[in-house]
Amino acid sequence: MIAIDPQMDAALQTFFEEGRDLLQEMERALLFMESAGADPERINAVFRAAHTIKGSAGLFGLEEVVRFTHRLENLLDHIRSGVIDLTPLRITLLLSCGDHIAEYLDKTSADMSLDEHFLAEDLRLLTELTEQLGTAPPARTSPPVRKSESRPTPEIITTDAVKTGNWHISLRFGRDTFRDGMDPLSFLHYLEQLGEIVGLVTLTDNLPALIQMDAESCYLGFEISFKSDADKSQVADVFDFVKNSSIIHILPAHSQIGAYLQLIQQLPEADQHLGALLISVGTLTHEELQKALALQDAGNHSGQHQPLGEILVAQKMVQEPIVQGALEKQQQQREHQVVERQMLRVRAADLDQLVNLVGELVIASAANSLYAAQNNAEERVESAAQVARLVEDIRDGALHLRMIDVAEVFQRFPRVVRDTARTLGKNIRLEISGEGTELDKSMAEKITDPLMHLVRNAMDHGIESAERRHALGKPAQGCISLHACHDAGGIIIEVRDDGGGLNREKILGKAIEKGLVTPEQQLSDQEIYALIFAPGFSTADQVSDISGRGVGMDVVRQNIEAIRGSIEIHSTPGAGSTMRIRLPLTLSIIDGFLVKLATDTFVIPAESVEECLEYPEQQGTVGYMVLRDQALPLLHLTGVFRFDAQPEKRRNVIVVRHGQDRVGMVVGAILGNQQTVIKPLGKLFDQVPGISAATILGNGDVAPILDIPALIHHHASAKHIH
Amino acid sequence: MSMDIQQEQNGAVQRLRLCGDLDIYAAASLREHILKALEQSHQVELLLEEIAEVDGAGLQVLVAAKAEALRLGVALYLSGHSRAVLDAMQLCRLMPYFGDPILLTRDMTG
Repeated sequence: MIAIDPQMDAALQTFFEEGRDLLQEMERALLFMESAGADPERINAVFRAAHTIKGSAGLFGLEEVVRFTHRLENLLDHIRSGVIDLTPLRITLLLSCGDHIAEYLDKTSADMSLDEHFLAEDLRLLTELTEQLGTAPPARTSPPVRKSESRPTPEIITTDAVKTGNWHISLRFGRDTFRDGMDPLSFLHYLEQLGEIVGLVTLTDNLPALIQMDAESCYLGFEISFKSDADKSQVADVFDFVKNSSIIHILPAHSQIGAYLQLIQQLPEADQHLGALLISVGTLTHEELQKALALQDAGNHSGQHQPLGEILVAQKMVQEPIVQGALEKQQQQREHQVVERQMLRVRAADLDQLVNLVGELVIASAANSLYAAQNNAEERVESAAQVARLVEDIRDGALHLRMIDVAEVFQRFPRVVRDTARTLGKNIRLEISGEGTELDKSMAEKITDPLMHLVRNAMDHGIESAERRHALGKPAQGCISLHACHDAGGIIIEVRDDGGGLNREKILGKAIEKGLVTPEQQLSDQEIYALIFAPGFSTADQVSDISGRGVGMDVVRQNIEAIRGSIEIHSTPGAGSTMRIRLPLTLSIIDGFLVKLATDTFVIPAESVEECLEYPEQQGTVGYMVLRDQALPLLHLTGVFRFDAQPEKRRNVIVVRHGQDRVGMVVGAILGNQQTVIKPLGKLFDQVPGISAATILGNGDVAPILDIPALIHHHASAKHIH
Repeated sequence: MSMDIQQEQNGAVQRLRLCGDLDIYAAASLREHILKALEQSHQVELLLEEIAEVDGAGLQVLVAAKAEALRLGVALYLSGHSRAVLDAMQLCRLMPYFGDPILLTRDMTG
């Protein structure tokens, strides 16, 4: 099982994360090829992903993953070498395999046991993989495929392969190896843990005379014959720390003789000398060396100066994909390293902890400012203001750390749309726009499920069947689009479809039937559409696997509202509908606008405040006021929260907006802006209408945060009843 | 632990007794000492019984010293190989290169 060593555990966590990334990459490539046809680059990407996962899983002793990925890799290798084609059926199989590995990673990282269902799936996929492999015709190049389970990839043995079953490793350590804090001997020790060093020659060719040598430079080189069951990536990983500064060549067992020739030519020492070394190490026999050198001569005599790689490929010494694969691997590793240096993996919990601390800091800083102001000490007030400004910057910075690109939320949808479309038997494509819009990580996690539901729903109910679309003169392929953008103080995520739109009459009829509304009520389109969010509401005539069970849309709304978001529906009959989700920028700290009601302080989220006015005491009406020639509905908060206190002497109107609705809130004194750390209300106060959370003020008082959407909604529905 | 080099004269043989770690930190000074000894004497002995650790840098100086001695026609012996020295030489298959007789004590075989 997995080692308990904390360092190992950390590495394992990294493996899980990287594994998931790789699987996602694999899925993306497969989906792309499904729509655009197979291309070698993406097949290679898929292969690489599988291969990397297998290699890393092997390091951690995750045998099941290694075993499974090994089969998967076999199939991929056949596809890559063109022996079998990448058919849609095989893409589906490969996608399922990806899911299966992902499930394994999830289960292992959560310390869950592998249940029967999982094992059954394991067996099913392995059987299918074997079947696919079994139907493969013999490889083009006709040599038999090795059926060894210990080899990472099926290797092709031709008569040109050398006899030895040992690996050959050539090492020329870089001059700065010692200065970089590394010791060539420790690499040899490490290598001994992977297998047996059968033969070794220490090269002293590059060692200058004692009088000239720099004792702190490294001049050592080794030729090693090595016996091991490890795979190439494991052996290569031994030299990971010196791979950039040193010359390292690793030839797997039974390599083609051409590969040794290549090695001989690439190493700095003279060819004959090297050949002798290879013999003395035990890697090549005398005959094999002669053959290689003869080949080299023949190449030189042909006159043209072809690169060695080309000669070898042309002479079928080395399989083209191998050369190609090696080049790509190098390239990929280089790119990977660059990214690694620019990014830092941080545990989400650490980040949350930081944001919590910043929250406390914000409260403490507010207290600091307050006391400074009370003491009337000018310098203290000034320095408190300075601290407050810095705290604000830190707050923004800390919150920004938790922001992720909405593309990360969207990336799983191509697969969802594909699978759902298949289940439904519809032809639907997905368009994604607005990547680059950032949102809080915890919000991203919570919005995924509701989005998933909306997308499935739109595909099931929104988009018509192909026949119907044809009859309506629409393109046969339906389209779902996901879009994200920033909007004043929030984020908007839209799910659009080009289907039939919501059926207003049907919804209304159903709502009346269920007693949600009365036939006499006059409702706007918006209000009717919003009825689909009522619990237990479903207009689907047929309950399908995908949706239509009436649980869902109400849960969607609840989930969105739980993260202080809101959802609205726009629909055009015959042209499709849009579900627009509006989310706040962050969940934990907001800019608050402090107001007084009698003696209590309330917080209005500053993002929804448009302007502040003096309450026109002289005007006769209570329910509205005139603002720039327009009627502005007024909401008297003292009334909403049932304050019995005397009307205040000076009242103010705060104009707030949510979506398209604007309301003037009538309050007492205005205290101004303050950063507000959102503290959730306990269960007891959870259901208080009009209040979403609370905060702690600098003086230690608790101030409720007003739930603007709910208040506006309340006001709007109140208006309808009267 | 750094290396301490003691110089002893044993008849015609100049003996360098190396104590401590034969590593990158000691490599430069060891090189100086050996160079001087090779200039001064025709027979030089490196006594290795008190060497605790060996790394590639230390080993490399010994290899270069042997080559230099051959070039100058100086007899360079390595003697009293400690466990660490033996391990390093064994790992790099360098025993034949130095060609010194090796006395295996009981704790080395065990």
